[in-house]
This record gives sequence, structure tokens and C-alpha cells, in this order.
Amino acid sequence: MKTHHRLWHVIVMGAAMVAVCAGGARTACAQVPPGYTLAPIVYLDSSDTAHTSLASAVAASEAIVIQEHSQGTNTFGSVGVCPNNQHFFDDIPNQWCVQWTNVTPGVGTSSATLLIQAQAACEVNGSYVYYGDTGPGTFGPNMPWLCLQSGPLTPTLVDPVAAQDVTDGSITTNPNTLALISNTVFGAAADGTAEIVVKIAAPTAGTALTLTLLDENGNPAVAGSQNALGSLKTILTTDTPSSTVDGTPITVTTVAVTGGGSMAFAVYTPPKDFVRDNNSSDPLLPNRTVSVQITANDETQQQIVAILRPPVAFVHGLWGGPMDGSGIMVALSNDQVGLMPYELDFAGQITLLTTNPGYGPGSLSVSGDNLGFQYGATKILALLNDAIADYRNNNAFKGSIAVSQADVVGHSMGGNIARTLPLISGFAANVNYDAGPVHKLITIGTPHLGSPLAGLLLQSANNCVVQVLAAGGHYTFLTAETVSDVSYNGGVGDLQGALNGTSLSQALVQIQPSTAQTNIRIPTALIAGEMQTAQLNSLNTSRNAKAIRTVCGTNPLASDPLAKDLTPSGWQSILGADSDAIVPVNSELAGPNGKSAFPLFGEVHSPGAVSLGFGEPTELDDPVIPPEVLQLLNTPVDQPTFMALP
Amino acid sequence: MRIWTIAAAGIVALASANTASAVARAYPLVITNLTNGTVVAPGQTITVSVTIKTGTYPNGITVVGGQVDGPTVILTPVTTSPASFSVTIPSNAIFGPYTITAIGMDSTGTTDTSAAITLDVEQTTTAPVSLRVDPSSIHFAYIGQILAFNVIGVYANGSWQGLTQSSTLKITSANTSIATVTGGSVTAVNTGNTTLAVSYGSLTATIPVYVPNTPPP
Repeated sequence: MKTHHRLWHVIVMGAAMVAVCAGGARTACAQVPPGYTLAPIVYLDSSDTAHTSLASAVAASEAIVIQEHSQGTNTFGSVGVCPNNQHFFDDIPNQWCVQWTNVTPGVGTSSATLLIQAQAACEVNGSYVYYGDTGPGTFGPNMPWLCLQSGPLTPTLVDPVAAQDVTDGSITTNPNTLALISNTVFGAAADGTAEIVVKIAAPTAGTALTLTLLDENGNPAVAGSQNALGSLKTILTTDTPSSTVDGTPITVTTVAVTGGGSMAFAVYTPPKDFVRDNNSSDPLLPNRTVSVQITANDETQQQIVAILRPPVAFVHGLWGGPMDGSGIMVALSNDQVGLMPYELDFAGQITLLTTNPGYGPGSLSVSGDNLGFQYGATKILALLNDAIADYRNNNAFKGSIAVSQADVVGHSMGGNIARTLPLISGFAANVNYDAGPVHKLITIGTPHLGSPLAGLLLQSANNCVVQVLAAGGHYTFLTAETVSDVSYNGGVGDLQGALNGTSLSQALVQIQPSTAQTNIRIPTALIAGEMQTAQLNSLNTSRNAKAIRTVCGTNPLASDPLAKDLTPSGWQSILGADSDAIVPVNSELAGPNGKSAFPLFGEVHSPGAVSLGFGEPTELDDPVIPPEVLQLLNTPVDQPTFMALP
Repeated sequence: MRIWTIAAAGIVALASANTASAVARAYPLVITNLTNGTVVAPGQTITVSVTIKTGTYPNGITVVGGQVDGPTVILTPVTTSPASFSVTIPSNAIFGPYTITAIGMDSTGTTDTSAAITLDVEQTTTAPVSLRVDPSSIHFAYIGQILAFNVIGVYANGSWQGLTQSSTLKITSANTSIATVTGGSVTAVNTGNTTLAVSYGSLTATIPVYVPNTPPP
């Protein structure tokens, strides 16, 4: 029995092509033999942060490695080494062909100018034998194919979402449609939602194949291991329904498909967490692997499936912008665990015709972050779907994967907006199998129960403070209407809530567990900031605080209560003894039953709070925060750290 | 008692959605020595001169400088006119627009402002070593959709700076019949694929754009 391992990165997958490759181990041929699927190619790029681990993965398996010379500037790692006495090429009289046409945009250049080194290296009697084009040379239009041999069972992983073959949240069960899916992937993000169709081409129809899911050490899936390894299940109506969730292998049978050939199909669902319970290695890794072992008669193939982390997206808050998350996102991207942070920006300019409160005659051009939950959530949903679509090809591996959800980090109102997403039309969609695009949510300083400051800003007695804030672009709106007659709530209006967590705005009521009109619950972990006394006392000496007190407080014509209270004792009378200067801790923790994922350390809410005179650091730039975020990204969603919130 | 719909002395604010358009406003306060688009650098100190055109401001005039995604500066009020202020652009200001607005309170307690002057905060010394675009490709869901992206400068010390609003940043669509771009906002015009070319000084990046054949919902 021969076991073949493959971990191949897609460059291109072609439609069915017919021609015959010439035999021999070192061959360039014109077209793909009949009945064969084009094989994906692994390439290593010296700028790829996953280089070391990918090389390691290759080293543990037999694989094709295409190393690229991009304009002569890259250096290269070692070629993958085959396991002892496992030769990719053997006496099986079939061949694979791979086509080179292009590399991922931004990594290489066009096929016409790219120089690559294409090698398949296998150990034979203690020395390496290279197949394919062994020296640097042009492997492009003039030599577009590299032919290699393979066994009769030809597994391929494809993404039905990318092929738009998901309807009403489910993959088609039509084998002819499944056979045509050509969006090859080499793995999936560990979101527990994405699905991969495992296509297995075989010489004849009616062949029963046994599929077993294995961990990276070759141990088969057992009951309950779906959280660690993911799961395989049948899909064709002609197969007896079964799943590896119950700890047993599944059996699928090949059927004839349109266009010739025979195929069997199964569906792989990745685990819902990248980091496995009680596993000390996973938190440090950018990727791990599982294998689908396919057995028929005396032939066994193993198809390796790479497991990556889901993408991470940051959502800023009221009076903020995408760069609010830069400190956290830079730190995460420097952690070398394959995180590719996105910063979602709903602060683009919007023209308002009328607002309440008003700011003078005529239309008003403001940034979108001044508006409320619904406006923000509508924008964020589109941007989140775009980020996930981008991550399919632009991940740590720079190759195609299946991914349906992202981990979301929301600061301040960004957390409220994330919790509003399930109420937005289009949240549950085919691209996420009707589960929504959020895998888990981490909120930082989010006013889950509002802030008493919002209500105070909406009182006309504090008009002077409101005008000063507006001069810096930070508007207080209860409602606003665009030039297109579209009405939105204001961000400040949506954030109204009393100090004791009552008197919530309607927008906040809509996302409370007892009143939310959605069955979707998002695993949510809470990080709360709490300022220290010294940060509060900065109000005594801050130039900005003094200016606001002078202009809007002691000024007898203004006499804004909020400006007068911009003192250490006055502010505590508004926000209580425990707050981050803007949000009471009770609200950051979503009420008395909530708990902070970490001890409260000493941050104020935001740079805006610092502008008011509170002392640094903030929840956005305190260096203790990014490791906390990473720890939560590494924490399985069924751990008690995560609350199920709408 | 002041009411919300009056933001400037004697001028009633709210207009009907069906009839109103932008109304030229007579500001009682004017910043006289700065013009829109004046380029300043983070940490630079500038002088702001404010003249009272109408009214009196017995409790003084102050100046507020700020950015949506950046720090705000509020100055102690002065009662002389013309009033002269010294404003230091915050060293952590984000490249792009930075507004300067004068505020005064008249004898009735109504807050008046000047028209905002929009300065342009730009880098003058250290240049980024690479560009990061976020997301690195744009996948529209339907024709007519508008999506946002960010351009970020990565510096030698590992820090990031937002460049999306910088006037130095140039962004062009390779095919405006498929997608158009304004600032950090891109609009799907028609089905097809195109690219956005991004440049900041000598640094360049390309953002692939994909527009499906899907009508607006």
C-alpha cells in the first residue's frame, strides 16, 4: 500500500482539458490528461511570514514545491524533503499536471516575466531526486505544464462559496454541479462554519471509499473531536448519511459525473477554534493541519487540510476612525501567529440635511462615526464581508482557503455596532452558511448599557460643551436625516443609559438578551478599562480641561453643568467611582452578571478622553491590551470567558 | 433659555428636507490669517488670528483644533480683538485634514463659531518604508455598493500612520467604468475586474477590485 501526502497551494485550476502527457519523471506537457484534475502548486516566498512553517509542513510530507524568483530579489528556503522511502513518483501509471499561469497579485509578476524553480524532490536511496524543471528558468507560457505522477485516487479540496454553489445556506447535493466546482483551496479558517467539498476522482463509478479524519500525528477522529479536528460528512443523497462527529469514518461511493469520469464527494467542516482545549502549542502557531485519509481496496491517499486562524477585524467607536485600532492591530500582526488584521472604517463623510440637535443652517458634512448603531452596522456588515472575501486569498499562506467568519474586536460603540449586526438584513447569508460573519466578539470599553454622559450631552444646558466638541468634528446627534431623506439615529442618542444601567435607548434595548429580536448569539468576551486616581486627577492640570471649564463652565453665560463637573470630584458624581472616564465599568461589563476577561488595570477610554484632560494610557494604546486580545483570540468560544450575546 | 435649533445668533437652523439646500452662512467670527489647505506638520506651532465681525463676546473667544480620528486642542479664551492664539498641532496628529474653529459666546449666551479652516497635516521628515492596504483586495457584493479601504504607512520602527486622507496619497482606478474611487471610498459602477493604483511618494500598491454581476438589493 502506498500513501501519498499532498499540501499544494493553488495557482490555477483549469477546466477539463484533454491531451496526454508524455511519460517520464521530468516532463513538460501541453495539456492535462483526461480524467485528471489540475493539481495546485505550493510556492514559497521569502517575504511570506508563514515560510518557515510551510516549509516545515512540506518537509513532513511529499509535496511539489514551486519556488519563485520574483525579479531576482528573493532568496529561497530549502526544498521540501520527502519522508524516508516515500517516493512521490512510483510505478503507478498515471500522471498529474500542474499549470503555471500567474502568481498571487502582489507576490510575483506575470507568467511571462517570472522566473521560477519548479521542483519535486524525493529521497531515493539516501539522495534527493528532483523532478520537473530543476534549475532556475522560465516556466511560463513556453512551458506551462509540469507533469507529475500520482495514484488513481485524486482528491481535491474546493470551496462551494467561492463557486456560488450554496443556496439557502446549504451546499448543492447535485454531483454534476459539485464536480464542476473548480475553486480549489488548501485549507480553511477555524471558524466552525466554513465548508470544503472534498472531491475524489477515481477510475470507475460504484467504488466505495472510506474517509477518515486524522490529526497531525495520524490519529483518527473520535467522538467529540470535531472541536479539535473539524468533521467530515456525506453530502450526496446516494450515500448513507454519516459524519465523523460520532467518531466513525464515513463511506462515500463514486458516481459518474457529466463530462466523463467518476467522483465521490464529502464535506469537511473546520473546527470552531484554532486553539484546541488544553493545547499549549496551538497558541503559538500560525497554522496547523488535519488529513483526510481516503482508502479504497489497497490504495490509500492522504489529503492534508491546512487550518488557519480566522481573520481579525477591528471596529472603531463613536468619534473615532480606523486608525484607533492601529496600536492593537500592529501588535497582533507582529505576533507571528498568522493574524491579518483588518480595520473597518465607517467614518467616511456623510452629508446631513437636518439634525437634532441642530448645528446652524444648511447641510452639514460629518464623518459617519457620529451616527448610531444601525448606520454603523450596515456599513460594517459590508466591510466585514469584504474583509472575509479578501482573506480567502490574502491570508498568512497567501493561498486560497475556505473562510466564512471573522473575529471582531470592537472598541467603545464599535462593540455595540457589532452586536447590532445580526439585526441587519443580509447578516445571515450563503457566504456564511446562514450563521453570520462573526465568529467571536471581543469588546473593549464598550458601553453595553450606555453611558450617563450621552444623556447629559443631549441636554440643552450643556450646549457650550457640545459646540466645543463639534468644532473638533465630534457631533452630538439624537437623530439626523441625509439629503436623500434617510433618517438615522445619532451615536450619542443610541448610547443613552443611566448610571445604574437603566433608561436605555431603544437601540440598546434591541441588543439586550431579553429583548433582542434575533436568535443569533455571538460569543462575546469583555475587556473593561478603569482609570486610576492619578488619571482622574489630571483634570486639575490639563490645559484642555481648564479651557472647557473656563469657556463653558465658570463663564456665567454658559454655565454648562457638564463643564463645571469636569473636575475629579464632579466627574465621579456623573460616572460613579468606577469608570474609564467615559463609560461606567458596570456598562463595560454588560451588567452585574458580566465579568471582565482580565483584571482592570488603569486605562481611560480613548484619545478623546485624553483630549478632555484625563491622563494616559488609553484602552487603545496601553501595551497590556494587545496580549489580552490575543489571549481571547486563542480562547475557545465555549469557554466561560465568552458570553452568548445578541 | 437656549434651544437646540439655534446655533448662531439670530439664525434659525433647521430646514425642511424637501426644500433646503446648503445655505451660505454669515459667520460672526472669522479666522483671518489661515486658508484652507495650508500644509502643517505634526508638532508645528502656528498662529491663529480671529476677528469679530459682528456682536460682542464678553467671555472671550477660544479656538478648537481637532480631527475625527485624532487629538483635539482647546485653547484658553481671550477677550481682545483681534484675538491671537498660538496652536501647536499635536505631534500624534494623523496625516490629513485638521480643522481649526473659533468659538465665542455672545451676550445672550448663544455660542457662535467661525467657519472652520481645514489645514492639511502632512509628514515633513521621516517617510514610511512600505504601504499597507486594508483590505488588500475589494470584493463588492453588488453594483452600486460603496466600500471603504485604508492605506497605512509602515515605518522603520514598526509604527503605523494612517495615510488614507493624506493629500500626498494618490489613488486612481484603472477602469472608472467598473469602479470609481474618492479618498478612501470606492464605488462599484459596473460588472468586471479592475485595480486601484495607490502611491505615496515613491511607494506604490495595487488593490484588485471585483464587481459581480449582481444588481443592488
